Amino acid sequence: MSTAKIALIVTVIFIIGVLVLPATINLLAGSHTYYDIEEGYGARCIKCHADVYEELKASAYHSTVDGIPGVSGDECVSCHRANTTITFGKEAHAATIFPCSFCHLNSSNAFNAPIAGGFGMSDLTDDTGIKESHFSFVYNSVESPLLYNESESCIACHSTISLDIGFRVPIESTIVANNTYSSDSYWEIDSIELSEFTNHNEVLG
Amino acid sequence: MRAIYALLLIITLSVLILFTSIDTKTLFTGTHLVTDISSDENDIDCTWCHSWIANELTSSSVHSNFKCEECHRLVQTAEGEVIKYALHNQATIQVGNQSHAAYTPECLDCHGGGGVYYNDTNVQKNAPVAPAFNQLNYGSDYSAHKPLVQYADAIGTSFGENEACLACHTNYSTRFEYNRPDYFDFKINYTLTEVNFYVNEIGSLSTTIIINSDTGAKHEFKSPGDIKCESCHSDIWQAANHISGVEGTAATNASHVCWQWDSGVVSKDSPMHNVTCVYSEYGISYYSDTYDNITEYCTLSCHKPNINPAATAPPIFQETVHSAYRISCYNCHNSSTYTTAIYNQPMGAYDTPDFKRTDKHDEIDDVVLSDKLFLNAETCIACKRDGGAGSRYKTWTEPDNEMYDVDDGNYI
Repeated sequence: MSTAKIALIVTVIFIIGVLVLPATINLLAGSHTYYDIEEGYGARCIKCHADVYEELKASAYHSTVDGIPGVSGDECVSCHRANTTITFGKEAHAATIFPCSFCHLNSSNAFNAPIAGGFGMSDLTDDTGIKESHFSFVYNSVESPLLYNESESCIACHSTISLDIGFRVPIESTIVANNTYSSDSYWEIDSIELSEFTNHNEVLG
Repeated sequence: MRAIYALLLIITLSVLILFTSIDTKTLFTGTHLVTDISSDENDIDCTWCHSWIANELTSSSVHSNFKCEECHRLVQTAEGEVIKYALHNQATIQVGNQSHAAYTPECLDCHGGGGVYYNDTNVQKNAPVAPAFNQLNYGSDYSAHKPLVQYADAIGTSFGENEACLACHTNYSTRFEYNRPDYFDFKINYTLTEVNFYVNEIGSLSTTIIINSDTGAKHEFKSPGDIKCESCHSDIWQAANHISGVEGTAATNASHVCWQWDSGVVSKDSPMHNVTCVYSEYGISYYSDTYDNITEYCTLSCHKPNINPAATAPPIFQETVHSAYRISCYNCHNSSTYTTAIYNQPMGAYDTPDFKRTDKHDEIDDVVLSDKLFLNAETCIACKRDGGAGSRYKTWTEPDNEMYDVDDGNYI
């Protein structure tokens, strides 16, 4: 390709650019065009949280929390402004952090969401959770600062979030047995303690 | 020229990325994409997070055909306990009660009671029961491992009795520390008119450590035939499997069982307790049959023999135990009524435990039986090895089990 042709292409692109661009370029274009908040907030959340919007569109649940089929963005507000115990404008401005437990451990939740029973953490009287293998995971995630309350453990299983889990697993027990010159001299167990561990790392996603 | 094409390519790619990428990235991508759990199967695959357990189960001799849910979401145990999990399928949404996703089962949830349990799909299944341990209070006190099961149930290291079950039935590693008196010093006073028994001294506790190092995998279950007594009791096997030296020498003459009744010579007439009948160890074939392995020797020769249902058997063998009886010589050798009661495998026939009760022997039996259990066998073995003469003996415990005639000043 000759230099003349390249110059021609560049010129054409430049001209098109000049024609389609606004007359002046503002560093913060649109900053003086304000939304009418009377219309609601839903779609506005998407502006910054389009990734969440995309996830919600692909999600099996939560697309109708606003009472309307399909994902429009209003779902964001349904959950993140659902906490009626706080005053928006005081404790929060636009949205609150919203743990799974707000609905799924509260049998009187406004969405009639199913209760995650079996951890002994809901308000249902027969929810004991005494046999749940993941109890300590859920219980201890409450203390984790990553997400609010126990949400880390919820999303670990129920969402597509990537995981890197380290398990420290016992592989040996030390059993101490005594047979002393006691009343009967039978063998008795003095202790059983975990004495060796190994690590398993699980990477998911 | 190439530089221009490369530049155009970079610009094009950059534009494409700019237009297709989202505006922001969250720290926890995927948190709002919730998995559909409404199918009739478990939509949250346990092995996503627990693949190593799936690998263990693949190597297991038992339960390898089970999916995780078979045990960890069983709905009714063999004891009749109903467990309600969180459930979401095409038909219903169920709120969990005792468990949400998975439950840590106790082995006896399936192997206890009558062995009938209902799995995750509410299908009735039959598991082999763990004899004695499936009974109230774990059955007979003659069950050798009952204290281990009781203790395991009492502590909270794992659920139920699982620590005890895992120790024998899986490749989980164990380290045993057995504490027992180092020796017993006692006297059997044998005269023309009487036999008396005195305890002079009991040694301080000594510790025998047995390390049973395996893969450590709790989900690698052993087939029953792979469970070896000597894995946890190698000290006892060492004591039993120690052919005596010549009487009167200082050689180590260890013994757990008295299989040499005839002055240091292997008795072909009483082969039941004779370690040389363990085929894999010695291959001695002057009996019609032998023990296939050490475990078979331990159980059939003493700790869980086959009993003749048509004979009068020692009362202890009417008790139900799991794997082994807590036993001493006196349990079999204390009556003349046990005719052809116990199967003697090397002889290939039901055998009668030797018992020649005399007036004098009657006295020592009564005295010894009223003393500590672990002295019962010590007195029998020491006296028999010494030729039945009686003396002051010092007998060391397993694994060495040396026996010393204090009066004569030699090992027996």
